[in-house]
Amino acid sequence: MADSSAPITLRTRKFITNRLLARRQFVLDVLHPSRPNVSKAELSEKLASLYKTDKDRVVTFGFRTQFGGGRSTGFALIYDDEASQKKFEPKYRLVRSGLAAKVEKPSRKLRKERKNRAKKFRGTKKSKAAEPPKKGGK
Amino acid sequence: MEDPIDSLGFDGVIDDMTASISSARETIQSLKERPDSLNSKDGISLLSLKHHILLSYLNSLVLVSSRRIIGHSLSGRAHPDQHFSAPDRPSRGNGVGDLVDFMVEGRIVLEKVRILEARMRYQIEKLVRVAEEPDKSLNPIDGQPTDPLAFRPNPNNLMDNEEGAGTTSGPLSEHISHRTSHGPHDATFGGEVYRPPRVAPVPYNEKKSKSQLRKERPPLPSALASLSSDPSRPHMESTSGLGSTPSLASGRAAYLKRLNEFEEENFSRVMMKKSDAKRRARDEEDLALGGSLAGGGAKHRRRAGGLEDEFGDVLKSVERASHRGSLGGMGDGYDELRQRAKKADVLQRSRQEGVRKRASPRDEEEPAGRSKKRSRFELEAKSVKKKLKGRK
Repeated sequence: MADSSAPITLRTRKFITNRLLARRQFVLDVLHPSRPNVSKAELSEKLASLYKTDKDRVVTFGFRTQFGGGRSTGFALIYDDEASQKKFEPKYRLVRSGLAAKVEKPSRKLRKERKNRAKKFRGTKKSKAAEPPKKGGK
Repeated sequence: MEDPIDSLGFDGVIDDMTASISSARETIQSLKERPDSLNSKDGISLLSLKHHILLSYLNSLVLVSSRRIIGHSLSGRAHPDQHFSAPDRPSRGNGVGDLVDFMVEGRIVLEKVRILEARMRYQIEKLVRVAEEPDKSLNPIDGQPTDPLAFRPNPNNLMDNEEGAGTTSGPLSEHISHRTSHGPHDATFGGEVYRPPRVAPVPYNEKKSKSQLRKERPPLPSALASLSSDPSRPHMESTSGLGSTPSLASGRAAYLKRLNEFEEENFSRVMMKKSDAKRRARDEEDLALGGSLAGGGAKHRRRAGGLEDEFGDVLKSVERASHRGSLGGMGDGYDELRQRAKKADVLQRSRQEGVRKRASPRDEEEPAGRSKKRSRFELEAKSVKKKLKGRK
């Protein structure tokens, strides 16, 4: 079914060199006639070889397949260097490409409950209030 | 030491004083001839109260100013001469301070009188009008002179007189004629009954809202839809081979095109709800496969393939034409009502009643209204079923 060795055609449209954000950005048309979809990793590899950059500098996102398959359109950015990428990319895309770690937080509800419980105490006792009150037996 | 201008001024002042004193003397003479006007045995009216207080005020003012000119201080107060138990003991004595007190009191009373006068302005104006034109007309109903100070409604005005509106009492008639002389539409009010204009009754047609009208409008024919965009090329090339550019045909198609352009311009995807995103994907597929998305998306999408899409506008306009033709022929306003009264065709009715029957439980009795007429086939089928059940 999915012929992963079938050739893909990449076409770039609306190419802009964005000096302010230290990147090149364009709309990417991918023609993949015998494949359902092309992964972002593969696309960034192909683009890196096309534009002679590191594959970590290439960021692709927003792909939508058009009418029944065979063609998808999305966006791609190529940063000049890692520092500018870390500075200008939004956090979720950095996490996607592996350059930043995901911040593990307890759920929003849990955070708010803890805060409200801590409101009742003052000073170091706040840490004691972090746990919910033990119910009965234990 | 004296300037010549000052003596002239002084002469002028003296002349003024002489003139005012002579006019005051005339008034006093007339008052002397009618001594009963100063009699306040029956009580004092509001209007004459003002005069009396002003008079006393002036009196005290003159005395105070004369004392001041001489050089006395204004703070000496004295008790009145009479004893406390005397009935006509005045409230103040004769000292200068008492005069000042009286002036203050008079001022306050005058202010209050002004407020009361404002409340009674209507009555006072009527009095003034009566005083200006003394018109003693007789009331035809009672035979008594019309009391212009009677503030109740005058039934004489409502009566149908031969002379018309002229027999109303004087000041009131003036008021009415004053009112009717205004305005371009001058209704001849001379006692006639008002007859409203006769208009034939018109049936009430509910006005359809704009969105409803837009939905129910027949869709633009796809052949003509492209003319507005490029009239020089009425036949346009298309990849699907079904017609002219679908993206220019309907509003939905144009919106999707615009959305796509926006996304590409701004390098980001628009946030949408899941349902919206699904609808968008479906519409884009339809467009890509050649449909023009005309005819509203609200209609059920179970239509077969591209035939309905291609000829959708033609088919819909045919329906509409038959609907409109009957109206064009007869054209009176009762058509909508007649349409509503007609029974729908058999297919519609069977669908309706099928739904109704399924909705209500079977145990219920027959409805009070007209039940469906059972055909012979149905009766026989029922009896057969019963027999089968009984056999089991």
